Amino acid sequence: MPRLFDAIREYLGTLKRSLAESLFALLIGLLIGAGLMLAFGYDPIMGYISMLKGFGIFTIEGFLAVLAIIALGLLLAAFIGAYWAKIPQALARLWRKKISGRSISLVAIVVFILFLISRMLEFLDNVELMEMLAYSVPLMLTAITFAVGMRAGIFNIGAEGQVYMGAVAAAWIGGHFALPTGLHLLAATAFAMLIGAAWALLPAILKIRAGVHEVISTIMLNWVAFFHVPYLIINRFAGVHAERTATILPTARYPILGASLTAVIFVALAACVVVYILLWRTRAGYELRLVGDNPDAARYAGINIRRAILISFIIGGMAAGLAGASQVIGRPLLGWTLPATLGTVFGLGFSGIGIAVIGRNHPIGGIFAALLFAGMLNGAKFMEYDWGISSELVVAIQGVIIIALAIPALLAMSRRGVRRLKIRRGPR
Amino acid sequence: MRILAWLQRKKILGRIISIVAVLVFILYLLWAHDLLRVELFEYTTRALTENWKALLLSTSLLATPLTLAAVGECINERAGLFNIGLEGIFFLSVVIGVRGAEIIGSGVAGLLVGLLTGALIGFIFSVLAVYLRANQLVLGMGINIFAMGMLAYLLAAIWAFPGIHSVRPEFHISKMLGYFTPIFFVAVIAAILAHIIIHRTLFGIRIRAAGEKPEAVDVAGVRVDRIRILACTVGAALAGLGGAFFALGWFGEIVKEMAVGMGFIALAVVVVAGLEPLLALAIAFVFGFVRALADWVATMPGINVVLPGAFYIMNMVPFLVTLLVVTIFIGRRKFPRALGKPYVRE
Amino acid sequence: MAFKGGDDAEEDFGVKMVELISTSEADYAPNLRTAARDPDVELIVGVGFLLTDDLVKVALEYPDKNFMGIDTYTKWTDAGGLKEVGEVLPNLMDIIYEEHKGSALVGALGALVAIHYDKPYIGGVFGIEIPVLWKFEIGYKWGADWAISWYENNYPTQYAAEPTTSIVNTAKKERVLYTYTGTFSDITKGYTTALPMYEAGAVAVYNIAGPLGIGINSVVRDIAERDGLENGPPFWIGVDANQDWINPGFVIASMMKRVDFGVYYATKWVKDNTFRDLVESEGGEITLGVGTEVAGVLTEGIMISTGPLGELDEFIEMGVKAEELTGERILLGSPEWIRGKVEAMREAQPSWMWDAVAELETKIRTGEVEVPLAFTADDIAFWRDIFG
Repeated sequence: MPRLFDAIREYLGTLKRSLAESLFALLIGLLIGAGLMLAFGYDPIMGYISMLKGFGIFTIEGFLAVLAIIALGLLLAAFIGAYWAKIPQALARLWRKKISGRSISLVAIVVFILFLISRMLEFLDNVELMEMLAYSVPLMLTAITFAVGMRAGIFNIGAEGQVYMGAVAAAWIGGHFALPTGLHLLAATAFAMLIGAAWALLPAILKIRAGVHEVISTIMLNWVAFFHVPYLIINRFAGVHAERTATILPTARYPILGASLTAVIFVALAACVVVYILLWRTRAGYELRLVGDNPDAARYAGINIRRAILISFIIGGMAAGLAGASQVIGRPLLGWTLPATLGTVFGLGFSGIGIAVIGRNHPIGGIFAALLFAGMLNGAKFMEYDWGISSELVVAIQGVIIIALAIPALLAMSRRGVRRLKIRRGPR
Repeated sequence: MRILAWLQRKKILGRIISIVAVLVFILYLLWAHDLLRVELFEYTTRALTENWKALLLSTSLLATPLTLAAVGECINERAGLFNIGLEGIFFLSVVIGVRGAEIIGSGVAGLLVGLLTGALIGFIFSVLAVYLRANQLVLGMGINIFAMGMLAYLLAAIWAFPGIHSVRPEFHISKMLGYFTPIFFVAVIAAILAHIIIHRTLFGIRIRAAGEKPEAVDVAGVRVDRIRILACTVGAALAGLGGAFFALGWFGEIVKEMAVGMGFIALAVVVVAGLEPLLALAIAFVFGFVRALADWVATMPGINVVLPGAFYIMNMVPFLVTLLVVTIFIGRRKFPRALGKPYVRE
Repeated sequence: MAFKGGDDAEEDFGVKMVELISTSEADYAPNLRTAARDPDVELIVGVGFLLTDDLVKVALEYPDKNFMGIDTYTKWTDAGGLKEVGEVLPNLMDIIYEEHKGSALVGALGALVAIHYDKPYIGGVFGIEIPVLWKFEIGYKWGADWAISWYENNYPTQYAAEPTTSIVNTAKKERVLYTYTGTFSDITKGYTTALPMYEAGAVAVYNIAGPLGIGINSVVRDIAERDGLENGPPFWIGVDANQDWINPGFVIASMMKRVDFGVYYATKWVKDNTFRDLVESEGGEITLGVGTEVAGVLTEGIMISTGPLGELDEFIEMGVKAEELTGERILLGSPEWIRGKVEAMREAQPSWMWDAVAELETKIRTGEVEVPLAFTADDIAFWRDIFG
């Protein structure tokens, strides 16, 4: 057990510093949002109270549940983080029917925590909470795309297009092939990730071979996907209704936990943890981060910079592909279909940028940032319904938060106050 | 093998691989859309030859905002600031510019308000980037996202009509010969002036030095911070003018998602131009022309019979051409060494 | 447009309307639920075919509330396994519009204008390629074809003497220039696609992409300014609302899809307590179109703005109201000026043109002619094979 506590302490330790910054930036964003509401004659306090409804924490049990789920999630993440190297072995042993107490307990604990969370969600039946969680799934994944890029020193904003490609890939496998339960789900998910990564390959090649700036190549590919995917849907993968893909077969759907939340959230959380492990617990991850932190040092250390950049693009593409799949086979939207208007996947990639920035480019931080943004997005409709405040204001607030977090001296400001801020001289 | 090694040494191999990759990608798209057909080129040549006058005149409309934004970006990138918030500047200056025109009662004044809006955003951007050493890419993206939300919010909050607003016709800047906008001349003059300032004046030398060797400028007793802030303010002001142009010089209306994607194409123009304002003018014109041509091809009589679904590819053409052109030209371009890096005195 | 229907219903039935604008399709179910949970809400209207499945889902969750979908096909979906295909929920009504019939009328009008001015084409700028737009596309092309046959039968000598630039001498599959722009928001696409159509000789361009009509209107305005025109040609054709007032004299007509009528009628039925009976008697689906009846009462929802100027006044009034509300100027000129311009533009056209359109409308009403309805991939392939 001590290893477990160490892991938890480590998480909290890394999170603490960035948490202060993120909260300060959030405060700035909300204040400017309030100013914008005041400027056009709306009541900001009532507006924000309405927005809070979106978090599903207006009841005490809802609030406690959110805390409990975060705690359980953290425990799970820490557990996997601490014992991750053992889990494949344990599974392998179970597979070979060499049952040992240790391997059983390892697997059993993971399964138990998952079970606990899903039972709790079912028991609560808090629609807004579930909606918030469902909203957060694709967002935490697209945040990974951007975060991993930033860790490798790459400004990868191609999640948007990779999400479209992943979504249509999942819809194709999920709607047009008859496969057994389980395998079908796995195949659709894996294929979506593969196609997402494939779509990220071209900018990666252009970056490492010719030095084309990724901001330009990824944006161009986003637009290409924006016109390519509707063509595929209407002309290749349409179902009974020509404006959307065929309905996802029941064998390829993630089971619903409540409202529009499905078990895909566990896959998403696992993906976040896996990316964390990859980046902080493996050699390849260390090299990737070194390339981003200090390319010169990486070059002297003999690290293959091209490979590190390629890996960051591929991880990003897989995460974005999974995000696309999560909106098609992991959420009962439009009766389990993907529309040619791309409405259910549009904008997820761009939101991911903001979430990654607030999560300080950390996959675990991204989970919390995604929950926050999902709550705000989900709450924006109450703002509009109750007071007529345009829900687009939330996007503007998001922008302010990102601008605030672009400033490294922000924490210093929050601590010392703006007046006493001194610009440090000399190298960092 | 010797040739291969030579190519490798000259860094040509990487470029060839990249260009081939883009071509393969384009072939994939044509194949996936059933358009690997020779008729596609026939229609394109017909579109090019049939009515090239109108095609060129209308190109001015797309080229104007692209040129203004790209020339501005050339100036601030020369000084070492990489502002990817061009799209955000478009969004905000379009709505504030129109508001300004309505309050002051003149379309030209509205354009100037748009220019000032851009200048203000550029000023804030540069102050945050220079004094607080903000990450410029994140900052620019933040501006884009903020502006996207603000445009929609302001449309709803000011004019109480979600998504759309018409500008009074007396505020339109009239076009010439049908589709040619006189503001294109402003863009041309801006490009020429920027060229002269960058290459022929002391201030231009300082701008270039601030981007290339800020230490040297600092040692010479010139304030790097002020040069960068000034360059970025001027650069963003031009983008702001380009944004206001959409509503006041082109359509006379504002919608929620005005000018989507144009800011990033302007960034691509800057890259291809290698930070040369006159080249940026030429390339912006070419990009505008490609877009106009693609839409021209998509609407030709009978094309939907011969090449069903060609409009999907035509909608992508501007982006594919951008990708290809950037890949071809990238290796020949040099960028300031201190681009995107905050200057810290040692 | 639904907004206007709510407004009118507010005035006539003393109800109150609250709007929720979805920023993405993931918002549909949550937004519908938000409205359904409000105890004061009696009727929830979802506008747009993509709401189909979410309406079914939420209507099942809240059986006491009344739901109506506009352009939806809730009867014909299984909503991912929530109900049977063809099953009708007692509290859920689909309202569908006969856009193909309205489009046929403006298509005929467009072709007749092209004949009158000896122009070779008419045009259409579409949004994202979805089946709802196929209905518009094929209706429009069919209407143009009908008009040319009509002209051939009624004026055979003039038909034979038409110059080569006339639409009657254009190849059948090339008469309608059209493209799908892949967007309902990027107005620059409206401009750059409509421009080549007018340059090629299209006499009128039909706007089937919402805001992209702004781009089309800008081209027309620029051509008018270049050539010093007071009236069209060139014209454009409005859609959904009566858009004749936007640029009076240059909008030959608008194909009005009165979504506001749907909302208004539904409110009325809920207030009369006949909503659920109607759902049962009409099989869950109500069609509003040309000459359509609901329970024996003429209840229309599709019309084109060639008749009396009454409906134009309605929309001018909307603009006047908005001007009062915001203190901003929205209309191009005084209501009288707009009315005058529209009247003058109509009088400048020959009367046989309006007669022909009226004849087609009567024939559609009586069922003498059938406007093809393309809603599936097979339909669209079949009709594009005929009309291009």
